Amino acid sequence: MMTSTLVILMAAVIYLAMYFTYGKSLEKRVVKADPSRATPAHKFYDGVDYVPAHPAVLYGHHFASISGAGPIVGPAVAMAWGWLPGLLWVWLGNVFIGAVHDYLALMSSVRHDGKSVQWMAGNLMSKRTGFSFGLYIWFALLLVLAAFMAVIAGIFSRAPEVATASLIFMVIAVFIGWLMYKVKLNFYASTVIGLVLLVIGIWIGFKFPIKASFQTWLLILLVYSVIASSLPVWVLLQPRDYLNAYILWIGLILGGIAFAIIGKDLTAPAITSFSPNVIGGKASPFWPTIPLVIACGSLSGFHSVVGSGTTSKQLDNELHGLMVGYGGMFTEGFLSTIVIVSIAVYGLTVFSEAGVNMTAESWGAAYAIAAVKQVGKVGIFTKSYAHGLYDAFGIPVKLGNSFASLWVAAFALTTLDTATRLARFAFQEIISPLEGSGAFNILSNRWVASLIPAAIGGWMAWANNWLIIWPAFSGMNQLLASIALMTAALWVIKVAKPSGAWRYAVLIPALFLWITVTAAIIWFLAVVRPSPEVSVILGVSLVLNFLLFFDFAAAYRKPVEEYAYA
Amino acid sequence: MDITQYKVMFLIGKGGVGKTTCSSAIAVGLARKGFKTLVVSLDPAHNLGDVLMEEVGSRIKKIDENLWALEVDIDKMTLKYLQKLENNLKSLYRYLTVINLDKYFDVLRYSPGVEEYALLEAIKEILAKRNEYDVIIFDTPPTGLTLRVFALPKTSLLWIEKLIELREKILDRRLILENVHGERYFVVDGEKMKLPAREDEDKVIKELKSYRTEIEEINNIITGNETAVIAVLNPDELSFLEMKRAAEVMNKFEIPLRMVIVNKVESPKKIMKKIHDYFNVRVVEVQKRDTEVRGINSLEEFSKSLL
Amino acid sequence: MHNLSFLFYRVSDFLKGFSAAFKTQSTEYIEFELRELENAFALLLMGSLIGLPAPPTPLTMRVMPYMAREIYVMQRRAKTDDAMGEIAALFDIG
Repeated sequence: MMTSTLVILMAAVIYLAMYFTYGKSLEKRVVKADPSRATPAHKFYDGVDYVPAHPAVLYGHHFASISGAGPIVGPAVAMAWGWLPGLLWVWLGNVFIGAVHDYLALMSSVRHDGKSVQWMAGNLMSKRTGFSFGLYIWFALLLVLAAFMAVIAGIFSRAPEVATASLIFMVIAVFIGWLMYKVKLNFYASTVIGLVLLVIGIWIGFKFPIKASFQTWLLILLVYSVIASSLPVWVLLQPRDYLNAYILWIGLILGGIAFAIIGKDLTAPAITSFSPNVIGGKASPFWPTIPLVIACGSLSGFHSVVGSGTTSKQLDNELHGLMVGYGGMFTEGFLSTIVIVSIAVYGLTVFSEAGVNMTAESWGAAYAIAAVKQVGKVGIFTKSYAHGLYDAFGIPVKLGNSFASLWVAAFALTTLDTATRLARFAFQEIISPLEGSGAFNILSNRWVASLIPAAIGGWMAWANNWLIIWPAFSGMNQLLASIALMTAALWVIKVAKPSGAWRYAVLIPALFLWITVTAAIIWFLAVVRPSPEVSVILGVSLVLNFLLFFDFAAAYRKPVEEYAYA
Repeated sequence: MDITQYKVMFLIGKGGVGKTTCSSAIAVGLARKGFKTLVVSLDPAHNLGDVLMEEVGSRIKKIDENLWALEVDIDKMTLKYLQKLENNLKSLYRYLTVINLDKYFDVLRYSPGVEEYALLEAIKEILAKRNEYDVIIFDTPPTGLTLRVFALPKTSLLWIEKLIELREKILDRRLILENVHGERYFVVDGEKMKLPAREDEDKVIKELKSYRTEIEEINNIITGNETAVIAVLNPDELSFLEMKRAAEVMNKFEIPLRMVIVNKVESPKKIMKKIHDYFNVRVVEVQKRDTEVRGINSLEEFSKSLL
Repeated sequence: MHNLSFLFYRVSDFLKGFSAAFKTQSTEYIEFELRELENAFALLLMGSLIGLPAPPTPLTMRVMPYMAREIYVMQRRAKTDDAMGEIAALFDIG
């Protein structure tokens, strides 16, 4: 029988092997990475923003930036298909599409003087693509807010000790922020103090759990989003984001080791059916809907923007890009593997502990719904993970559960904060045509501009089944990946000119992705029939998706000379 | 109102009302009383020299006992600006690529607000010499421009405060980064410059603060007890209305209107009552003369009705 | 023996760099905010350089020689016009 050790080892072997074979080939034949070509870090060296960085620094930073709550939540839901399909998507989807996407987004940004994918899309395809991007981002952010508010509210309402721990974590973050940035205490001292306080915080969480209902938490999170996103970054956002990085790595390493050494059998079914009840609680065909469930961990559009942020401006040598972009995504895939394995081993245990009648036979029909309604969409993972930690290291299950829950909640809370800020920024760009009118003055007020997306997000989280919101969010995410991958494909084929058949290494994933995502969203709108607001968002995005394809096809036929960069 | 108690005077009014004549007359009158007097024309359409019937240039020149005169050359000042700007930009150009120098000069020369700033700088420069004289009298440009110049210190102060606030935020963030990452250097075109993170190493904030002090000083002088703004108008409706609006603005900015001179009065008119009623400061009526008042002796004669 | 020490070097080098990643993680938002502030500052004082109708003032003249960094940020922002890309990159929406 399949054991956790086997799966973990297989994951490690597959990722390592593909890195050194497929990855290296991409590097040599598609990207044609040239160690002697000056990267933006050298070309525009200014000692501050364009500075060559050690590749491990970029790797660690890039990975922490792309990993949020996504690689955990998605795979947990995808368990409805059984552990094998999700695992295959996390392995193969990652290797052939997701990591390729991340790597190419990074390298094309590097070759374009560090410009973002959006900018490149505007340049390589059409200005319209650039603008629709802004509108699309705002829509996507609404869904981000809805999805993550629901995730956190779900965690807090089920595990009130985590709510307290999260609250204390925020207080600790503010305190550490004050220490590091105002008092200017030594970096290492502040860090150690922060981590110690964090442990104490988790413990205190058990002593004083805060009990509230799901709806109450949604309201609180709405208020939190508006306030947090209006604070100066050094107060809460920056220090918490910093401390989160430690939680991430500790969680990843502990989990990896734990499940590698436990060696328990995977008791959950390997495959349930092609169309178990997942999205909206309805029967969902694995193809094309899997990208609507697992985004990060396999393939995620938002990663393309991360790579073209600071990473591309600090890459020392083109050869480092593989470890950072490709390797970073693999690491996230590894994280998702741990998630899948943990539920595969302990899922049935967790269900029975919660008094849910679940068997390997009923799994397909009942898993997703039971997970959301009775155990917790995140809870199913955190409890399984905690069992793993207990069996491996003897860490008490309640503690492990708290830690894992805090892990997800902390990242999700940061996402709410940043998503609201970004929404505010995008909103002001969108309403700029209204400038001069009274409406503009009201709408561009920062409180209003923060409140609108937070309120819409909160309301969508309230009014909609989470099994609808999450796939909608993933859908938007993958549309973004479509744009990025097509932009990269265009760049690769027209500008980088890979050797021989290697162009297909990019073209095929790009087209496959576009077809899959388009089919998935059409299926979603037609079969699941979500509420009007979700339908509008997805509908408009679908239209943009078609526009994108036309622009791509048109740009594909243009001769090379018309491209700015060659 | 004892005119001799003021050390700084501004004569304001529309073009053609007789500002220059009144300024010169007061100047001559005070000089004859023994006060060391400097009369300055800020009006781009200078006729100070014509009224005094002396040669007045862009350098302070003694034209009589206790009397000095100056015609400020705004164009020359603007040119001086341009020169300084060019020098500063050239040194910056060493560091940065593609600065649109030509466009920037055009903006400087023709953009709204440049004249006001230039005039304020001129006033600043002259007031810096106020210890050398007992009284300084300014003949100002037409009312609109002058009022904008008067308002400038206060509005500048608001703006400078914002800039200082912003700069302090920048320094604060830089210090945070320095604390975590160590000293940071900005490199451009092969030049390496340390990024200032503290006030004592930041030339920008030092300049901001010293400029603020200078502007505060000017504002204090302009609104102070030893300064008088004297309005000159003619006995007609338009003149009166314009000065009425000006008075409202001056009130808002605490500019001290201390005296009104109604020049070229002929027969008694209704307007005179209006003027006396509205302005609650000393109002002096000056009869219209058959001949122009020109030359130092005529001006001395003229001054008797003003002082 | 050589291979072992080489491996050790590679690993410790990786770990050193990796731990430095945490330092970057502790300031990335602040760095972004700093660029925003520098850009705003330069715009207020020298927006006319990039076409904004902001009159240069005597103050502009006096601080100009010391504002190389700020003007650089302003120019870069004006040239690349990619603020959205810069912001979105920071955001842990993964």
